[in-house]
Amino acid sequence: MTNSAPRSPYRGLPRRAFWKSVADRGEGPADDLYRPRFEITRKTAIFTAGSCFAQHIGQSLRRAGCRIVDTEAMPDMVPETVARRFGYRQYSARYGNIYTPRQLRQLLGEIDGTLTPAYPVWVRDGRFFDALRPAVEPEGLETPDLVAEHRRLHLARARSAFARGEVFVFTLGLTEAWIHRESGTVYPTAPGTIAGAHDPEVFAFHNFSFAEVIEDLHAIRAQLQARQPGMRMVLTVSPVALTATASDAHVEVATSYSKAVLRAAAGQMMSECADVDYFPSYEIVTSRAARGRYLSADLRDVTPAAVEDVMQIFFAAHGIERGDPADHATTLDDLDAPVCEDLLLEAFGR
Amino acid sequence: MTRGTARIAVVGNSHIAALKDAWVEMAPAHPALDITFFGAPQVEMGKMTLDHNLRLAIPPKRLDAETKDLLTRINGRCALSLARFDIVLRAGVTSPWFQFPQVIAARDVDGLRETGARERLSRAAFDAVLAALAETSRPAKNWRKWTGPALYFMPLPATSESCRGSERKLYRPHAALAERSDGACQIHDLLFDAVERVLDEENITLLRQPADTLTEAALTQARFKTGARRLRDGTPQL
Repeated sequence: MTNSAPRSPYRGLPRRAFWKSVADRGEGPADDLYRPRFEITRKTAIFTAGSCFAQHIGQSLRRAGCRIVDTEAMPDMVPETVARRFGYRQYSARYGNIYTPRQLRQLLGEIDGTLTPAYPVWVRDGRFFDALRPAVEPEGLETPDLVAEHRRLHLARARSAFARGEVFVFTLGLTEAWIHRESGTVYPTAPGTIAGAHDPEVFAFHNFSFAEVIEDLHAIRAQLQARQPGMRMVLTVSPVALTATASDAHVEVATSYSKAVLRAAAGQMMSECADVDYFPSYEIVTSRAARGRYLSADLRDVTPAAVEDVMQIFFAAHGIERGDPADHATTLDDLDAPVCEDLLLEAFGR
Repeated sequence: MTRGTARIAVVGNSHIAALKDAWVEMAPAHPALDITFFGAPQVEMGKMTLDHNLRLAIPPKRLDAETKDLLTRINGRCALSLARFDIVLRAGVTSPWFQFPQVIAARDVDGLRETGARERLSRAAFDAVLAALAETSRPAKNWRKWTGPALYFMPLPATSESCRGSERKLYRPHAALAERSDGACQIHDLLFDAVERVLDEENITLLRQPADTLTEAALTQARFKTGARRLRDGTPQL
């Protein structure tokens, strides 16, 4: 016991520690919302994966002149709309959207040859689709053998991508997924959405828990570092809400669960691993200070302005200079609309 | 001008110099053809516009004395009225085939090309890329929905097969295609089928490079290479 007056542990903390700094700030995100744990420069080899929102991040990094690994590139003269329609220029290889950590862990296992997905080919109208990335060939292919051959080549290119990157930017999108009951194979879309057919005896809904997400993220980190020692990770959480849920909860409640689990898992990874950072894109977009202005008309997706502000904070924090944001504004239009398999759910929800 | 003579204008960049050379040799055998050549180096050609009276010229505001002198030395004039011709041939038009080896040299294509490449294009993706690159052949605004004299476009010839010996990065895809040529000619034909459709929508006829001048990799056979001709020096006079 001392005789001095009690001193609050909050006394002397910087202004950013107090909510009043948010209330007083007005519109726009705080400059010091993100303090990078490690340096990223234009020369850093970055590879990306994740949900639809990750496509925005990847495109912004490309436009800023960052060194983005792309092992299934399409020549520059091929227009953006054509390339992206077929899964090019979205990520570091043509694996399409990866919504859950389990999906990425599975891809890495497949690349290693330690895992063989069940039901890898789905059918629709006589055309055959890669069940693990059904949107990269919107019209499907002629035969199941062709799907297998395309996948074999894709896995080799993805293996190369994961071995080249120094920093992996992974955007966590969902906890909900559809899995093959017997093998646990996880799919990016529900059977019957883009292709395939839903058989409740074969496929089941699964909502990943915090513990499962953490286990998957640790496994991903270990697998990537086995290929590329020193590889660092930047985790983000997509601010885009769920299109639909199969969890029996209201979609708003289900969205909150998904984002909370993913956000907590990202925080846990950061606290356990010095080579993992968290970039608060989720907080920037959903901030109360934003007053909803970053949300698109459907209140689910985000606006181009949101992507612009999110990436501006990322670039500023890393000291990466880029042109006037206005120069980029013209490119943040419909051409940039991410290719999202889960949007197709809307059609099924009507 | 004799009765029954066809008046033809051949316009374009330095590539028309080779056509002029050929015409000098061929002209005696074709007395019914009256051909006028009008050309300029690519930069100056790119500045030329076509007005509503089909007068092809560099707008006065962009025509400096040096360029005027250059055009006069080459053509004896600075402008050409296309309306007075029966046929107009635009030669040396940018060819999407020049870039296409970048797409296919290191890729196979379902049903079209099998070389054991490490990447593979589906037929749907290939068709979409092909259509997009063919679209680049659509001409500038004043050449569209053409209602003037019969208009023909002759794209640049395919790169010469002699590029295989080049160390220039630009020609690496062409050289790679020459090494593994499977399907190249069929893909070349499909591309120009698509170009033909684009030009047809604008009432323009495509003049294709003759198949018997191409190699199996759809490059121009080396025996047709005569060396680059430049109009920059003001020669040859057209």
